[in-house]
Amino acid sequence: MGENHRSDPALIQACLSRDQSAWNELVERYTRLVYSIPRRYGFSEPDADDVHQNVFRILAEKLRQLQDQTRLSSWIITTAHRECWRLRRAAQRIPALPANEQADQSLPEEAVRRLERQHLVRLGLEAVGDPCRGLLETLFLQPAAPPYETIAHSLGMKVGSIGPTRARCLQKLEAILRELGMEGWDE
Amino acid sequence: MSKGCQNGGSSPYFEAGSPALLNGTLDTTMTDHDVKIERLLAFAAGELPEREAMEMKNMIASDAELRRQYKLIEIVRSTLREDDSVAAPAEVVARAKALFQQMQPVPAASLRSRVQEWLDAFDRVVAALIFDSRTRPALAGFRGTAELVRLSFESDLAEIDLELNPQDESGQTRISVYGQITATDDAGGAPVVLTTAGSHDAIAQTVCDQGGLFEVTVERGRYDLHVRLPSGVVSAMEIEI
Repeated sequence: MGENHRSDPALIQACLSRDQSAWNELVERYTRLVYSIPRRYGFSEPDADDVHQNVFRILAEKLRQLQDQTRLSSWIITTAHRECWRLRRAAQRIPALPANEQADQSLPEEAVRRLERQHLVRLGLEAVGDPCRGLLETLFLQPAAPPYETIAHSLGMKVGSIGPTRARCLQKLEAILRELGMEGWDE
Repeated sequence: MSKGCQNGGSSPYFEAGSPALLNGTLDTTMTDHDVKIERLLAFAAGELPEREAMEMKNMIASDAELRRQYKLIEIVRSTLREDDSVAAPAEVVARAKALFQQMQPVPAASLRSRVQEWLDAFDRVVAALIFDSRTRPALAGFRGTAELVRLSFESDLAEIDLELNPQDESGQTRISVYGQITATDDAGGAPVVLTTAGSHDAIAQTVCDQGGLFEVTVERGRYDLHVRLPSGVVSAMEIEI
């Protein structure tokens, strides 16, 4: 990760010193994760907006309690789920939550881990920067890799450097994911 | 495991040991390890001809480091492909960022002048008490002030509903005040201040959530409650808590 990257505990500490830029960074880091949870449950955009705002309000209120939190993503996922459930209870127009994701049963650990993994991979790809991000997304997201000429043209690279660059990018991504606390590929 | 290319012959694109371009500069220090990873990625992308793909399969089976890297590729690929997350609209993100400033506790001196400013505001209205469950114990089903109390205030700008919940904290009773502001304006993020009745001395401050809900905890006493909405200040006076 870049020298400017701040860990979650470091950002929380800075927020407690009233650092607005640290708060902005926390919001940027977690907004997609928070907003996607009510949208996956079928909430409308305004209701998802309410959940998003309430989760960040609760985060701002509980910063002091969360300052040693290393798995902030897990706390955020659980809080967003609870807010969905609370809003669902208050407004019957909102679709029912999936039976296995009711707040009173709490979100299954596997679901939390899946969302955390998605969040970390997204963060990792953002952190890896260009041209790595484009190269790796092409590799990972497209069912059949497009011809190198196409990739080279869209990323402004030479055809011959795509393979080696992609290899370096994967190693860079691995290092970033490790730093973010992701694991699961070591034997 | 693989979606290796089945066209036979040698890969038209794979050039083992070609220089890598990172951060806009050529890197000519490729190691054997880099070359192996490069071939592994070509295999994962289905770019290797059949014979080379088979060789790579065998290498993965016998090389722990390649196996580890291949597992990483598979994890990232499956994670990204099942990721249906959506980005929040820019204005939603901006509102979340703005929360921080709204929620910073205002220093006592500034808060006192803020209360003074609110009390003097030309657009301030005083809400009238229209319901107190303590005066209707039989109807509301409450047996006394030790239990939950409900209060409602009404004004042109907003209605204020309060629930008072006594909480025992090591022998001392404090009251959790749960409030809801129902206004024609959006009450989300509206600052709320509770002062000692008839004074500018703030006892508690908070902001409403997106549903207009708020919560503060105070000792028993008589208080004034002020809420700053976009269209004016609403006050509920002389609340017996």
